[in-house]
Amino acid sequence: MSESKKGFYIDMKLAQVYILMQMYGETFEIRTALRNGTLFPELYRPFPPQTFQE
Amino acid sequence: MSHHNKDMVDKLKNIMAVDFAVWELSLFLDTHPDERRAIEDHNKYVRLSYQLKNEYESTYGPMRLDSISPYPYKYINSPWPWEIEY
Repeated sequence: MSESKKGFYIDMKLAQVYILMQMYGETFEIRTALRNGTLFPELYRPFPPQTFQE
Repeated sequence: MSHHNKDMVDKLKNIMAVDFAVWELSLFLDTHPDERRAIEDHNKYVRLSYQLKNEYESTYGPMRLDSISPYPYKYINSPWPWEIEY
């Protein structure tokens, strides 16, 4: 790839990020939320992946 | 102080869960101040939090520094968080 003297790549675009706005939908039952660390199912993303079990 | 009755621990857990929900909803509302359903849920849990704390305190004594205390001062008689087996 070729660089210009102005300091960017002529034939490629730099990365752009975008963040989706969260929407208000279903929420966990509050005791479950406390254990999961979030009230919002869409933000519950444990690693390694697992589902919460009471 | 390691043995506390199930009712007390259960009430404490409920209060923690409700307060966590209030906290989560307040964070959501920071970026979504016009989300009416989130505000309604937030207010619902705030009311529930006050209600549950009043119920807890009427049975088990003051749990906050700004709680009304009977004589003698009772706050110190509450079990410390690390003494409770959840």
